[in-house]
Amino acid sequence: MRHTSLSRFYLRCARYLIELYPASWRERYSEEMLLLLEDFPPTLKTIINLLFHLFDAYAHPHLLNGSFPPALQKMRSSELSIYSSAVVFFFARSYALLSGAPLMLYSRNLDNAFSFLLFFSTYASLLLALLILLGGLPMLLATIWQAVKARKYHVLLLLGLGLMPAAITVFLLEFFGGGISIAWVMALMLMSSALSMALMWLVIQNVAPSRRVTHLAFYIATPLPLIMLFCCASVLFYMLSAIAASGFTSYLTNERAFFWFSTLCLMFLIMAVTCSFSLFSLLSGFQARRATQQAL
Amino acid sequence: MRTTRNSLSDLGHFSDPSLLILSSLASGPKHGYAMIRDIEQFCGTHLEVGTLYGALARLEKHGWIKALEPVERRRPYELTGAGKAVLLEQLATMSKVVATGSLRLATYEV
Repeated sequence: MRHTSLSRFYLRCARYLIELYPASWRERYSEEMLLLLEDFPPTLKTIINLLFHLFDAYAHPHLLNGSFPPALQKMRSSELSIYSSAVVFFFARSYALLSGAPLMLYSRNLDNAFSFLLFFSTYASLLLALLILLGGLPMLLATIWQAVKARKYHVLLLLGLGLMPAAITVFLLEFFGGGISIAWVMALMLMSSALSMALMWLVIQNVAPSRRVTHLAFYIATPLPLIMLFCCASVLFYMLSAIAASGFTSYLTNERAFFWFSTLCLMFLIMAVTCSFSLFSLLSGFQARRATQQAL
Repeated sequence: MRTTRNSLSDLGHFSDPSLLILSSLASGPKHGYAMIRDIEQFCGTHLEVGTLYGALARLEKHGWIKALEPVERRRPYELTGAGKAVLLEQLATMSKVVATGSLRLATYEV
């Protein structure tokens, strides 16, 4: 069948996407898939379809292995979920404090006890950042080492692409933070975290897990959801005390106070969602860990 | 709606493509190209490559189709006994839906 220059371009894209499929899928189906792409010139719809099913293939590797996903791999996925949600939580909490600071001045009758609670939660969130670094860094280095050892250079490319959104976000916030509205900041942060997480997830599916590093990263990840829960509780108490001190109607009548308070509520919602997600991932990780111990 | 175990509904969003593939294979073993052409002919749907192989992997995993030896680089698939039973069950359910819907439409007054 005759190919136009556009369909040749799509064919190249489709071939590249098929190269990203898990090894077991490629062994089993790549030749058949490539033959079909020769018979039916790919379109943009074909590329989108292949991209969607690429994620599906990684989500269901047991379809071709004949067994359910290895417990160790499940542990790594749980850890990645915990660390990623902790990163988003950290940003949301930092912005909750920034939006809450004017609120503190507005609510002059705020009890010192709650300020004290916030003080502790500030150190808790710093501990959060430290744990993310201590747990995430060995995972990152082990993944790079595995990729280099196996000569999977496309995995290194994916890894680099996975880190880029986070780096670009930090750069933009550092240099232009003052000029960007909070809504855009949050949107940028959430999009970059989602993109990074998706790419990192692809990366860990493509390299063999290191048992020791996986267990170490899991032990370090264990207190993260609990710290997040504590920070959530402290922000909630702060919000409730601000309402109690100044009265809820005062936030509705004053435009600026309403803006600060609603921003704080939005940040709290993000914190609550990420905290719940990380707790769920922790439980899933414990189940996977039990399965790895039973397998030994 | 009550669904039986080992039915096409187990395949989630792959249930529709799977039904089309099983129906296509009901007339004999086919490779991917022949399946896509056949499906286009009998229902006008073009299955994309990703969808086709996502469904084939699930059908093979359930034991409803079987891969045969490649012929000129193309691997044909055939329906198994279990696959035939699942297809019959699904078509029987759909026939009931078609019959009920048609009857009700015939008596429907706008």
